[in-house]
Amino acid sequence: MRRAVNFLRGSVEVEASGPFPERFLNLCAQRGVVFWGVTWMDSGAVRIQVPRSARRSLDALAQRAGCTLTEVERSGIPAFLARFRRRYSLWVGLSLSVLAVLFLSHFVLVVDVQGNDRVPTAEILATLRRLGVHPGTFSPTIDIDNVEEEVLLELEDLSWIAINRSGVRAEVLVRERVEPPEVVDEDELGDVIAERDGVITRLEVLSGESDWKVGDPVAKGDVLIRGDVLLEGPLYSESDVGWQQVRAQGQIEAITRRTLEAAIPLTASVKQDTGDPERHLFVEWMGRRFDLFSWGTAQGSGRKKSAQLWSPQLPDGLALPVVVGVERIQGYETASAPVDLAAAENLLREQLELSLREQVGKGEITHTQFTSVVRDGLLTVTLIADCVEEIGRFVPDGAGGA
Amino acid sequence: MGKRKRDILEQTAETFDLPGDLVAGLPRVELVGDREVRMSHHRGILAYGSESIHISGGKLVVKVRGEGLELRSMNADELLITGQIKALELE
Repeated sequence: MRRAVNFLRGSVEVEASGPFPERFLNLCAQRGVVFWGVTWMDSGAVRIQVPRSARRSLDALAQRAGCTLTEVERSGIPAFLARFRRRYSLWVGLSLSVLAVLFLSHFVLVVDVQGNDRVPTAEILATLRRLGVHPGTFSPTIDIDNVEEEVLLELEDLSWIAINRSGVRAEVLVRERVEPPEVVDEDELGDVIAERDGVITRLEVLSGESDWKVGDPVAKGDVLIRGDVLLEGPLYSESDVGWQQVRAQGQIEAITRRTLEAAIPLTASVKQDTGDPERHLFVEWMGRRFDLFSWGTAQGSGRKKSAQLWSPQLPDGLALPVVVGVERIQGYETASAPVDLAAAENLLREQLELSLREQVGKGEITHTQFTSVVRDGLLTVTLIADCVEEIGRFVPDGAGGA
Repeated sequence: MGKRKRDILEQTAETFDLPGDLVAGLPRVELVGDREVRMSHHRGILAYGSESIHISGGKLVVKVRGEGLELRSMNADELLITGQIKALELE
């Protein structure tokens, strides 16, 4: 403990030499100067350690004892810090660091959005920026309650939002509004009709009556399940009871054939770079851009922009609000160029397949066939697909069928 | 304190069987085993070395002999010497 205290307050080792160095010790003891580590040297001098604060009073005592006092060593934290006394750049850097921590901690440097799935983060950030919450905002000026209310009013897909300030980070937690389930009105009466031409492969009637069976071909608009149910009379009765109106329900799957077509011009307009690009070096600090200098001039009727950015990151992945970037503006002229037929055909095929999958939904694609034709300056690709899919569609009474 | 007054106090302490170190300020030497010597009411160090330390006690001189002697702490009234103590002599 004593060592720790001496280390913290600092100590000085001095050497007193003279005819009677023990007198120096006695004087120190009389004047209440605390000392320790007394070492008698071969030369007759004595070395002692005293607290740093008592160092000044030793000169007078040594003079009274007729000794010459020499400072041997200083140790402890004050001596350690004194080594840096003349390192001005260190002190300036340290001061700037402390100021930066004190000053920058009052600003939002990062806005972190969590909890969103359907609503894009960029949309939330843009709304927050419009309401004054963005990197560079002075934190104490943010009216969190007001901003939360405004965001919920502007973004209807959000049901809840919380903005938490955590140091330089503004954590935005959101919950999205849950879409209400589709409610089927069971009281609405009607028929199930065929949405497409096809051959029935599966027929399940849940309510209503059907005149069709598996294997029958149907055309688009045919009534597959009727909502009119005949109530037959009792046995041996010559007349039926009548008709009952119900909501037709059931599942009808059929083999269908779909034909999709897509075309692309054989020539396309392409951008051809003209001359050297124009470049701008800039620094973005807390969302504000400062242009430093630029060089070159873009030439041509059109301009296309691109930027290369460098942003420092902390070890935990937190991006600092400093971005250094070079914006490149390239001039170009448009010119007509032939299209690579094979690449264009592959592109169209992929798009047609994608479109077919979206249309069939949960159905199954059993066979596909592509045909490609070059005609009238266009490459036309046709997809003919055999599918097994649900073709029944409920139509309420009075809606006019197909 | 004059020499005559100190003598009177010493005699008084002896007569009335009072502690001399308290009444007359006589030096008090305390030996703890053979590793530590405490002395109060000293008058200062006369000589210092690792094998011998001479301490003034007023009318007498206390000589501590031993090996590796070290003046561990000292103030105006008390001091502490540590080391391998072999002898204490009064002179």
